[in-house]
Amino acid sequence: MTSQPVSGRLRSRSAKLRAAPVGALAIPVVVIAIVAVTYPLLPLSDAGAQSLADGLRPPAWARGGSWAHPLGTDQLGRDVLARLAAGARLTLVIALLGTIASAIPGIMLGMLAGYKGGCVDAVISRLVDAQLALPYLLLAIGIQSVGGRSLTVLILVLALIGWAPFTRVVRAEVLSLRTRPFVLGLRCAGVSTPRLLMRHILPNIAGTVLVMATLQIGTVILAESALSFLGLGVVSPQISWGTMLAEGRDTLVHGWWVAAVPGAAISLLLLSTNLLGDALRTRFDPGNKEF
Amino acid sequence: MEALQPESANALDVRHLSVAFTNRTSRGRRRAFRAVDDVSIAVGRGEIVGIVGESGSGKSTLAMSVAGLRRPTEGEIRVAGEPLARTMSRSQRAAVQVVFQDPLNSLDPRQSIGSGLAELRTLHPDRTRWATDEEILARVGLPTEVLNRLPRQISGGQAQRVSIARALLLRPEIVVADEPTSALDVLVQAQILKLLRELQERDNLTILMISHNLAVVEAVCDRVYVMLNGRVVEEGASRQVLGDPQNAYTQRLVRSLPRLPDSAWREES
Amino acid sequence: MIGIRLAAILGRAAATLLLAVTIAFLLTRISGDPARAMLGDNATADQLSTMHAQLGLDRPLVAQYLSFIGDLARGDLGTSLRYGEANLDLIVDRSTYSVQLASVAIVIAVLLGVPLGVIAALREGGLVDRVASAAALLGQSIPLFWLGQMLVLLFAVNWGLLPAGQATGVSSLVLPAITLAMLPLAHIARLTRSGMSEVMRSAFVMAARARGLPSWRIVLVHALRSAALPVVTVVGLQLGVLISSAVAVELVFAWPGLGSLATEAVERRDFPLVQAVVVAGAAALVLINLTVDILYTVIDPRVRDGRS
Repeated sequence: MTSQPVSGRLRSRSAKLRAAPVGALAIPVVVIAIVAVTYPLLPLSDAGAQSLADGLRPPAWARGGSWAHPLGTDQLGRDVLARLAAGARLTLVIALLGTIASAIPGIMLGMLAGYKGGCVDAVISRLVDAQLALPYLLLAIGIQSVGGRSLTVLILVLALIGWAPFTRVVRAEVLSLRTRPFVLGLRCAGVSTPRLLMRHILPNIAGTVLVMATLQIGTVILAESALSFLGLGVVSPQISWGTMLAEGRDTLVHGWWVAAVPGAAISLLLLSTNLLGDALRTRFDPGNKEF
Repeated sequence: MEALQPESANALDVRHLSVAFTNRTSRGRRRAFRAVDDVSIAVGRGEIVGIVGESGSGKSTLAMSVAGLRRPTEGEIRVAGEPLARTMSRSQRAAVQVVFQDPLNSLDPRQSIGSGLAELRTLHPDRTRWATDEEILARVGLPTEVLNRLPRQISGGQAQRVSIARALLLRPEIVVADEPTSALDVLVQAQILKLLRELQERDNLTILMISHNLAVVEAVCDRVYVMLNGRVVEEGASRQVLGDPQNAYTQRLVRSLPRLPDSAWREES
Repeated sequence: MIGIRLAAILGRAAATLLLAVTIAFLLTRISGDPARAMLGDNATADQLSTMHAQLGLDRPLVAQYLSFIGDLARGDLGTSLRYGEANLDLIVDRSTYSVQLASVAIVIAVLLGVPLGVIAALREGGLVDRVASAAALLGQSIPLFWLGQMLVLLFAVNWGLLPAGQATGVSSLVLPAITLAMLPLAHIARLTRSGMSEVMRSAFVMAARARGLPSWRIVLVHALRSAALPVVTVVGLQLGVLISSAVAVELVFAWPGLGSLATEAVERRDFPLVQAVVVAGAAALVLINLTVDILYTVIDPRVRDGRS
């Protein structure tokens, strides 16, 4: 769409709201990260300690709850808050690893496709189309049902799900960059293609990549929790927020908090990363449409 | 190395060059379209030669082919006697440098001017030894503070000088200037053109200048070629071609220029 | 010529589908041994080789692939080991439920999302705009299946207003459809808003205003028409995402659609069925994208001539 804004009032109020300081938006993510890292040092009960007598205690503010278990306990008497903090670690690690694992091949392929063009571009673009045509959850189910439930397989599945959006975005950026005079000038100066890609093109798409990665973290977290929810992602006794959601499935009626707490936590994390991604996008390219 | 012939004294020899594009028409048929059609030009050492034409005349495509950025379909390009190979070595590349129209997009936005020059030195340690950063900047009239700046922190005129400096540093046989002043303000334009003239007089710099602006060409170029639809329709000394054009198209071009009575260009002959 | 472009689009879709099923084929075989996955870790070598033979896994990969493709071309998606029926029949049977759910969800998303986006754009910075933006953001951040669970909790368990699941009639469609509609709704509202907002600012709307056309007419006719094309694209894209989201939602609401078929197949370790569902899902997506591409070409003359 190439309509030119004519009005002088170019930034609406909501646009200004969205240009909120990036730093502030990163705070919840940082807090969660800190909790995840310092978990062993925190004064919380053991996440794995079962106590059937204490099963399904509601959170502190509800009737029957107590501050011994601020967020209640699950059906096996394990403290929900402790499990939440413990699960933060695995959730974040998987989110990070999954995003990086999908970003690296995605970016490489995108640069290749955008810069080289021709046959290489055609093949890579067809691959991207094909990947995006496969419903990601079904594909993940298919792979994990055969490949097993190890962490490695999970990360690989997440990488598989996530690489295509990176490639698409990077390819588009590189396509437009490659005709810019400075790239032509560098070719004239005898800069080799790998050097050009790594030292000149990559830094210039870094902003876009960062935005994509931030938004992609959300997708990865959702995918992991969906897979764990279906019994395919993280294996117990390991804890992630996804497995907590799966455990909460059975106790929905009598222990709503067991599922509500991790879900709320996931939502909060995702909210932060999405806002962060939006803010980054506004910062790097204010003319970009939101989508 | 073949024996020196009169031709190899030229910085640039282009013979019967054609560059064709294949366009797929809306009917699905392929049609070859010649942007450059059987063009032959020569640029002697120390000359400033202009290529003049309107949009679509093929002048930019010609420039890109000479620079080794576009593969010709037919014909031969020789730089200082050596033909341009399909894959050029680094030193072959250095022999032809380009200055582009858009000064601010001609530099890597993320790289400071100084590190840009340093990179050129890393790639061509021998070729670039002859001048320090300060010296090369002084040659194009820039202060050394520019070294620490990013492209967006300098003006268009300064950026264009940086591009010229980068080209000079590699000691090219010829510099292709593709509309080097079209994006600049008029006063800055005059400065850059004056700089190019100085570099020619002082350092014997050879320039192939592409322009759609006849006044610029007349002021700066020794000889000129006029292009229309991919072909050269007239050539000769610039004063002659533009002052007394023989070809009908050239005549129309010259006549269509809005002229100011006391143009400064006329004085600085 | 439109004919050539349509042929190109069809060709591309076919190539994509072929590539997609090939990837699915390769990945499900490379990631491990389906026979072992089905029989468990305690399976003996004999049991494994029997299963291999039964699934055709003892043949060389190329042979497997060729018969896989050959079967697909004939519409044979294999036979479920648990149900003993043709996978295709199972899939078609359950698909009707999924299609029902998806259609209602998309309709909700469009009927709510477009007006929301329009109003938000017209009154930029106003209450509707901010609420809609916040809701859209929430919609993209909340795990769908969790949302479904919470809705079930509220509406079915606590308040007893709507059934908790299973396809028992129109009322049982409400909760799952609303849940599924959240994400597309968010995207559609956001995109309509930004599309409308850009168009409203554009020169030609200003010119129309200057010519004295009444406000509401400008909005309705000009702006909506320009914003319609991106919305069509988004709807097409969202249908694709819906297929993935539907899996989890169907599980939560015990909705007997394609998604629950997939999860059941996994739980029962029915490898042929799992593979068949993945293929069916891919085919559905490719079909949807194909339709969107064709509509695009037909609707927008600019796209028709510009892209080559």
